Amino acid sequence: MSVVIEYAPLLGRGLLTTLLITMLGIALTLVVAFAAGLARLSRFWLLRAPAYVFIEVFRGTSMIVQLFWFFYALPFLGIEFTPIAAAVLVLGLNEGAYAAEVVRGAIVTRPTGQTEACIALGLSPAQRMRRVLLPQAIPAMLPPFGNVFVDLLKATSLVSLVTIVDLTFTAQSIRNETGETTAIFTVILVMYFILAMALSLLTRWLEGRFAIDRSGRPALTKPVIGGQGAIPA
Amino acid sequence: MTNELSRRTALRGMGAVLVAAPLAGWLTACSTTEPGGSQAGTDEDVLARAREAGVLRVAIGNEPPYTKLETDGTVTGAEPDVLRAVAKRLGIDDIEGVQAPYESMIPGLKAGRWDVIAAGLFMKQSRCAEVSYTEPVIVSTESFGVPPGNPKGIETVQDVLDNPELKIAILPGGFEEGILTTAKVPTDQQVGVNDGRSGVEAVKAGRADAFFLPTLSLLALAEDDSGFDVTDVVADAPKTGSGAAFRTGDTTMVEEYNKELEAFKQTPEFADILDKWGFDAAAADGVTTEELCQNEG
Amino acid sequence: MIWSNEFALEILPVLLRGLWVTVQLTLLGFLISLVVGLVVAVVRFAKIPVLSQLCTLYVLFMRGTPLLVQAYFAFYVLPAYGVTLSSFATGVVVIGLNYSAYTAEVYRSGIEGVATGQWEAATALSLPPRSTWNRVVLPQAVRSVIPVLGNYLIQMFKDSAVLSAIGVIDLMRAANTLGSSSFRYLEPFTLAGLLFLIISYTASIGVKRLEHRYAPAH
Repeated sequence: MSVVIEYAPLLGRGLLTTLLITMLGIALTLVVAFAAGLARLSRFWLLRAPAYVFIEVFRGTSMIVQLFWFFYALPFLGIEFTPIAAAVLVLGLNEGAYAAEVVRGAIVTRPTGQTEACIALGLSPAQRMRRVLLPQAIPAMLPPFGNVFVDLLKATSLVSLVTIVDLTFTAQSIRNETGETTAIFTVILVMYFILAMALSLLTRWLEGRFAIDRSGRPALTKPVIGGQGAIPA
Repeated sequence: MTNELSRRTALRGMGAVLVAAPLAGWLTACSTTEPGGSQAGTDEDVLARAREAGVLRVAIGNEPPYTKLETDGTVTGAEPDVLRAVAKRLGIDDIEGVQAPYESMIPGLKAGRWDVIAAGLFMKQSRCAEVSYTEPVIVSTESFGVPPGNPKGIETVQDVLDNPELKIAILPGGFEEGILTTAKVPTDQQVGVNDGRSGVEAVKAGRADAFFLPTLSLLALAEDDSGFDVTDVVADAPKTGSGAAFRTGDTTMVEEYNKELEAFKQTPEFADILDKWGFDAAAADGVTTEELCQNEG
Repeated sequence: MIWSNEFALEILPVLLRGLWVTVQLTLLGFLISLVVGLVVAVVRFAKIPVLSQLCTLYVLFMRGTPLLVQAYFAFYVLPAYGVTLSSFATGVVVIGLNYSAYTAEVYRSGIEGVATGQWEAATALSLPPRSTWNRVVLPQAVRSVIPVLGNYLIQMFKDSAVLSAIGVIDLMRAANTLGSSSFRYLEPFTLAGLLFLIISYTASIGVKRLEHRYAPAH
C-alpha cells in the first residue's frame, strides 16, 4: 500500500487526464445529442436521414473499435488528430448518439395536447420546440443523461489502450514497475467508483434545479387552470 | 412561468454555444497544427522542429534495461540515454518519452504521435521496410523465462516446435513473436501478454510455460522476483540489434543522426552508458543496420 | 491505393474466426448475467437484512466501475489468490457479472411492474412464497422485460471487444494483430467495425420485433 502512496503524484496526473477527457466528452456529447436528436425530429428528410445513419452507425459499432479506427486507421486517410482530441471526439460522438435517442424520446413523449395547443395559438414549429416542448422535455432527459455521463466516465478507461496516459494507463504502468497488482487495481476501482457516484449526485442535483415544478409533484399532473402551465391561464 | 422557462432555455442555448465554439475551434486547430505532421512531412521538419521545440518525442516500451520510465516521468535506459546524448550534439535539448505497446510504435511514428522510436525495437525485414533505422547501438540475445528448475526443459525454439502442448508468452508485436511466427510455431501456442510483469505472472500462474524475451530484460525482471529462472541464450534465435528509428521521409535527420552517433561512439561516455545498463559497448562495432535488417520476419 | 480489396478478402477468414469467439463470449456471458441478475434482483426485492444491502452495493459497484478495469482486476489479481482462469473464461465471468448488475435492475423494474393485485391474490390463495415467485410473479415480470434484456445482449456483444485487452482472441484482437503484423490498419478495423454494425443492427431490428410481441397489454 505504501507503494501506492509513493506513486500518488503519477496517479494524480492520470486522474486529471481522465477528468479532462470526461468533461470535454460530456460537453461534446450534449452538443451532438441535441443536434442529432432534433435533426431526427425535423420535417426535412435531408436532416433526418443523415442523423439516423449517424446514430445507428455510432451506436451499432463498438466504442473500442471506433477508438482504434480513429487512432490507427484514420491516419491512412491522411487525417490526424492529437490523441486527446481523437479520444474526446470518439467518446463524444459515440455517447452523443445514445444521448440523441434520449433527447428524441423525451421530446416525442410530451403530451400531444401541448403540440395541439401550440398550433391553436399559432406558434411556429421552431417556437413550439424552443419554448414549449424542449423546456418540458429537459427534466425528463436528465436521469438517462446521468447514465450516459457515467458511461462516458467509464469509457475513458478505454483510452489507455491507445496509449493515452489516463488513470488506467498509469495504473498499468505502476503495476509494471512495482508488481503491486492488487493494491493498485483496488485503488483505481475505488477511485472510479467515487467519481461515478459524484457524477450521479451531480445529475441528481441538476434534476432538482431543472424541475418545472419545485414542489416535487410530477409536473404533468398539475392542474392547467389556475396552475402554472406553459400556457398562462 | 413562461418567462422563467424561456430565460432558462436562452441560458442553456448560450451555454451550449459557449462550450461548443471553443471546443470546435480547439479540435480543428489541433488537427491542423498537429506537430507530428503527416507521413509525407518534409525531412526539414523533424530536425528543425525538434531543435526549435527543444525536445524530441520518443516512443519507449518501459522494459528495463532497454528503456525505463522513472516515477517523475523522465525516460532512461540504454537506448534513450544514447538518444539523449546524440540529440544534445544535434542541438536538441532533451527527449520526452511516450510509453507505447510495441505493436503500436511504428504506426504511431508514421501518424506523427512521436518523432523517433528508441525502445530496443529490434531490426528485421518487415520493420526496416516501414521505418529508417540509424546505425545499431545495442546488440541483443534472446532467452526464455521459465519456472524454477525449467521443468519442461525449454531451451530453444526447436523445443517449442517439438512439443505442441507448450505455451509461450510473448509481447504482441514484439521481436520474439516474429521469431516464433517465422519458425512456424502455431498461434495457439503463443500467449500474448501486455508487458514484462504480465509475462512473468503468466508463467508463475501457469498460463504459459515460458516467457520469450531478450536475455537482459528477463534478467532485469528476475532482479525483483526470484520466482522464475532465466535460461541461457537461445541458440536458434537470430542475433539482433536495434538503434533509433525515424520516419522514412526524415532523411536529413537520419543522416545527421548517424554522423553524430558515429562521433559519439568514439567517446568514453558511450561505453559508460552501455555498461551502466549491462550492455557490451563493443558488441555493436562492425555491425551495420543493413546486416541486421536481413533478419527474417 | 489506400484500400486494398485483395488484402481485405485475405484477412476476412481470420476476422470471422475472431467474430465467432466474440459471439461465444457474448452468449455465455449473457447466460451468466441472466441467472446472476435474477438472483440479485430477487434478493434485493425480498429485503433480507444483510444480503439485500450487499446486493445493492454489488449493483452500484459493478455499474460504477469500468469493465476494462474489472477485467484487469479479475485477470491479474485472482491468480495471486490461487484462481487462474484462461483469458476466455475470465472474460466470460467478468462480462457476465458486470452485466448482471444491469439485468438485476431490469428484472427489478419488471418485478415492480407486476400488479399488486397479483401478490394479493397469491396471498389470498395461500400460495407458498416459492410458488408465488415461480408461478405468478416471475413469469409476468420476465416476460415484460424481454425486449430490454435483448437490448442488453446487443450492448454486451459490442462491449465484449474490451476483453481483447486481457488476451481474448476475439474480433477486436484479430483486427489489431492483423494490423500490427501487416502495418495496414485501415482494412482490418473497417471490416471489424462493419461486422459489428451488421450484426448489432440486425439484432436490434429483431429486438424491436420482440417489443411488439411482448408489449405489455394496455
